Amino acid sequence: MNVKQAAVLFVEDEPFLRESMRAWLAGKVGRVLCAEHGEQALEILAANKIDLLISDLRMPIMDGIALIKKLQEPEGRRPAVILVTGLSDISPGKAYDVGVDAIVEKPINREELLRAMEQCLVNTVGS
Amino acid sequence: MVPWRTNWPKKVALVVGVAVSAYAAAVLTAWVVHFVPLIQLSPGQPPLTRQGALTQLLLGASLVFRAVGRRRAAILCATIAFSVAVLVGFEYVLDRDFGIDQLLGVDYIHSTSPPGRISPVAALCYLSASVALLAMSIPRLARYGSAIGGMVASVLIATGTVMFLGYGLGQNSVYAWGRYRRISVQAAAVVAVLGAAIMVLALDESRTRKSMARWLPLALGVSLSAGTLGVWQALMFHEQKQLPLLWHIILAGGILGSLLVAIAVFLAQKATLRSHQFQGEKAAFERLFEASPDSLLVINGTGRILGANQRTASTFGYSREELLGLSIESLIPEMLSERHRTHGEGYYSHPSTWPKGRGLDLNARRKDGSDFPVDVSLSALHSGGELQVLAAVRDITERRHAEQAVRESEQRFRGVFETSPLGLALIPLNYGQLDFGLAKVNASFCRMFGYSEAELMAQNSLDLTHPDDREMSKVLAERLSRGEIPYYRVEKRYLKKDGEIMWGTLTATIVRDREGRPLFGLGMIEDITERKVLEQNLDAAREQAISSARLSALGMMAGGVAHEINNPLSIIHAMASDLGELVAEQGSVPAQVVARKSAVIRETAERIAKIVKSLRQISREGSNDLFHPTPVAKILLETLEICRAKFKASGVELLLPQAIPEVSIPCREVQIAQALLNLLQNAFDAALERDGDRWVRLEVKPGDGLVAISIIDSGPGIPSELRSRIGQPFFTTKPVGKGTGLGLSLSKSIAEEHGGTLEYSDDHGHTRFSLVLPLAREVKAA
Repeated sequence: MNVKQAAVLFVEDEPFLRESMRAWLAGKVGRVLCAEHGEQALEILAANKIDLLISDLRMPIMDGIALIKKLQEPEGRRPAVILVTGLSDISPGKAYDVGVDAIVEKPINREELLRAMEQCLVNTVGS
Repeated sequence: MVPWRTNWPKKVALVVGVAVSAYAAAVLTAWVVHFVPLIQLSPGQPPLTRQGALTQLLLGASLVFRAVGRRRAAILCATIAFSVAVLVGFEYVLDRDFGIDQLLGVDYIHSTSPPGRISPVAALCYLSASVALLAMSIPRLARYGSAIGGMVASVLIATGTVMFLGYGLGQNSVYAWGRYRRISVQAAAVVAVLGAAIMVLALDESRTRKSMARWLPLALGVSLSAGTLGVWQALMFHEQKQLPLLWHIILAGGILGSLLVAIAVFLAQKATLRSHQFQGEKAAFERLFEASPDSLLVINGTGRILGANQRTASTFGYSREELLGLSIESLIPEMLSERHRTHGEGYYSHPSTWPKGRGLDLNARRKDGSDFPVDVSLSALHSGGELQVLAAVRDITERRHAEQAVRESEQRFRGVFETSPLGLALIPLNYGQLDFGLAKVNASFCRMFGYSEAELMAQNSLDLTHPDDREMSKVLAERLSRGEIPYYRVEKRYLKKDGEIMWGTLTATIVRDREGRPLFGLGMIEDITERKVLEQNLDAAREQAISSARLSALGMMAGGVAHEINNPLSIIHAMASDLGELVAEQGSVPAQVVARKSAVIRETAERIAKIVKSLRQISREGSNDLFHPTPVAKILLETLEICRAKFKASGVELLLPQAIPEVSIPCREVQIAQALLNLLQNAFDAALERDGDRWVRLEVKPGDGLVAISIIDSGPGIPSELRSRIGQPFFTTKPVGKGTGLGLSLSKSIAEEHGGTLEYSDDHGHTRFSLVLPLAREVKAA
């Protein structure tokens, strides 16, 4: 799937960062949705078809890992997942175990993120 | 009754006195009853006059009284007899008759002229006898009494005997001159007998000093001369001056003979006296010899024993007979005999007295072969030209034992002193004051200080003390000297020879005798340098531990801080990226966008700066900062800045008061922040222990001059059995590696340094720690 047609959910508790990323993503992907934390993200996921989930790790109420673990329950409609982490907050191995497809560190290098998005979405084309 | 054997002279005097008196009384009676034969032995013979008989009666009575000890009566009788004799003497001198005889009766026998008067010789004899009796009876003359009595008596004996014998030989003219009448034969006999009795008495009384009367030779000489004179006079009278020269030669020869007899007797008497003296001295010496507590031996030049006392016999186990003739070497063991002889020869060549115990630790040998130590002293005895030696041998076994016991005891104590691992020093006392000299030190003392004993002897012990500790040492020593304290124990620094400092525990005391008089000071030093170094290291380790505890909570929180900083960084990064992309896509960026984005960037960067500032602030040591009035809110917000991220990341909710009261506390801001951080860290850890709602609540409540900052957590609380240990250093309930156990004790000491407290309480099953601190006054007033 092409990045430009993809529906992307961006989860981030920090408002300035969220808004900045929303604006950037809007120019790169088909549709952009944003959430403040894991629970809000789950609601959005339930109501929309999301191709790619980009989530921060540390958040109040429900953090990134908890959110990703919840994704596995409705099998088949699972989006590709990119985890945004702080300073090595979680080991990559553990992240991949719970179903993370790619890890991007903060501060976010947008070109790097874009490559990761493309890669994740290419992998999901056939499904 | 007076025993006969010892008092026969008195008995003789008594008998003679009674006999004379009785005879005189009989003659007086005969005068009265005209019984002439008793008065006049034969016609032509001179009669015994009445006054003569009376005088004899009185003298006899006086003798009797003297013999039985009635001195006054004796004196009275003798005085009357003396008076009669004197009166008769006056009659002759004045050639007048006082008629004494007539008083006693009628004179009917006229034989000689002048009638009724005793002969001059008889008067003289009676006078002499009475004088003799008086001399022996008057107490004042006691010293010379017997001498006078004896001398007079000897004359009486001589004259009486010569006169009596003169009658017997038909020589009537003995002691008779011219017309004067002669003495009667009875009177002559009475005079001789009286003289003999007085003589016996006088000799007896002079003999009391164990020698013959010293006046005896003189008495003998005088009496023999008197006798010779009487005989010569009688012969002269009788032979009527024929060959007068011959008679004079005879008289001179007689007197010379008397003199020789007197001298001979005198010498004999002296010899006897000396013999007595010698006997006495010999006996005294023998008593001394026997009574000596030492064994005494008299040895001749070849070492033969000439004499030994009983002590020698009993000490050496020989009989006294066995000892005589034995060689002195038999009493001295073989191995020592050579030495003894050497000493002995030296002694013989220089016969001065050896003082006892002059290195003469000789061994003596008993008959049974057993040896014992003796102390021998020798002194020279010159006996008949042959040199003899008196050896005094004293058994000193007991003294040796005592000396040995003293030596062993001394050795024991010396051993204790010398081998003691403590440094021991005896310090002399100067008029009861502790001098700081050193009288004696042991090996440990020398080793500790690195000085030799000789070097230390020349040292003042105060110089061994570190200069900073000298004043204290002096004060303690003075108190000890004054007896205010029985001893003292102090840890102080010493200076070793190499200049290094030695830490020592000094125990000092004053050793006193039984009466409590101080003898010397005793110092005991234990080297505790090693312990002190360990203690100092321990102190440093403690300091280190406290420091790490201070930073521990900070470190725990810092993990969250990294994320806290990374987030704002991401925002800044994003803003910068937005701007970069806008420029790249549109060639320019609208001013309002730039303004908005740059504001976000600035705000976010300031947030980062604040966190960094807090971190830097709280990581400072701060214990030397000055106290400043600081708003409680400022401290709290800064502290929370560091914690917030961590709490957020772990899902522990931080519940803050709606508004923090505007109060200030005088404090070292950093320390208070550190204490709060510790409490927050503990609360955070406690909250994590329990699932479900996890929170930490902060409360700030100003009260009466105080403010209480409380931190309550949602954790399970502290078990009651552990509550008493809260705040004890190194007590922790956290797993190994998680807590230092110093957080609470550090917080507590910070609170106390600020004049406040750290209080624990149970808040509905939750733990509440309150930092209660005094408020700043001016703020309270405002």
